[in-house]
Amino acid sequence: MTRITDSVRTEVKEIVYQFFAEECEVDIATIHDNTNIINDLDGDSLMFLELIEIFKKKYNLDIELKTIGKYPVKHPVATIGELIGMQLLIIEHENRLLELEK
Amino acid sequence: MSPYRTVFVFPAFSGDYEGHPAAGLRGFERLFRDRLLQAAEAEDDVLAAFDFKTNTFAGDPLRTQFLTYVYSIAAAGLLRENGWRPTFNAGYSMGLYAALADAGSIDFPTGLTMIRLAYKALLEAAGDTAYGMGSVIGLDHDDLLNLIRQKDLRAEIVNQNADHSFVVAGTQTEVVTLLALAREEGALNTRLMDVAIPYHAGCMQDAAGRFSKAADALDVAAPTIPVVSLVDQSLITTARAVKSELHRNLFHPLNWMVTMKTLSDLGTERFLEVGNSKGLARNARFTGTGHQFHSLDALPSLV
Repeated sequence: MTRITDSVRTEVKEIVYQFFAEECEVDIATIHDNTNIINDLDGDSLMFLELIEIFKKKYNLDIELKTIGKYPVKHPVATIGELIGMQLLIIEHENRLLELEK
Repeated sequence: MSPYRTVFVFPAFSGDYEGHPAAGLRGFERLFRDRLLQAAEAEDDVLAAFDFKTNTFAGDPLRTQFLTYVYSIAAAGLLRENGWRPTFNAGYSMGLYAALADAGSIDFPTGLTMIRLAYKALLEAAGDTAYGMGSVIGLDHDDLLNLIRQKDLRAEIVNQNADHSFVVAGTQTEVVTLLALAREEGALNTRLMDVAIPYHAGCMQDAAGRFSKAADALDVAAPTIPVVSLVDQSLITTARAVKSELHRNLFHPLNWMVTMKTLSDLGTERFLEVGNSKGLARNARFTGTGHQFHSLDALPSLV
């Protein structure tokens, strides 16, 4: 479990922006929190999976993929900002992510 | 040309040509056109009308398969013109025909004939039953298998691409049910594929037998380089093994993840996706082999 500080928030945001700029071959300056991952960047689930793996390694996270998969069913993630928010929750709560709803 | 031990990987069918990976490669258009005309003469004269911009045969499964094969063989020709020599070939699903043709086991027109015979046999076997295929990303093998068993679904895993990436096939209703269950279970993504035949599913075994009987008269030689089996990861080096693989490929589950690991263990350093796809190169990031895996658009940077 990682405490979410301003520094972690900044780091996560930078990683997500950089990741999509490289993967989708777009200028990072054109990406913002309201950018739609699928419609604007042509992103897909493999990118999402890759990003999860990056954060799992970086923060040594103990979380099952299917736990992550259940979360967006009730909390859809469409934009870069929503994705960053979800990644921060994953980093903070790991496998207890779904307990947030109880 | 390449100092690396390289595998030519021939992908499955794709009918999407927007930004296709060989678009910017000098010489490809010429080779593609030559092969297209050859295919038109040998198998289906309408093929000659194909145009990348209008995607002339979108929604026509058999012609899309022909074009997939034509594209792969043209791309392999371009690579060979530029001095590339693979150590092994691998054919993902229907990519098997191109893998065998490039390895000299069958000639170009024979590959087209085999594609037609296989398609007809499977279509006939499917009959009036609505079949389907789908992809599931985010669950592991046991999770997916448990869902199939718990609900006693007429669906099965027909390929594993990575630890958490699968292709399933079965009757369309039950594939749709399985995909819905997978989402509930926590799959990150599921997708019903635009195919009406359950390739690599056990229910196609009889059709595979009919295909083999029909294809028996066609000339098959031993490959000049080993072609790896996606069914059991054996190296195919004889004409007899080629015939067996052509038969099994139609009704037996594949395992691309294990195939990549096997090729890696055999000393492969570089994989090239030789066809109209970038999907296998992308998928390689999740197979844990850590090797270079490039689609054709990366070719200029490799030369």
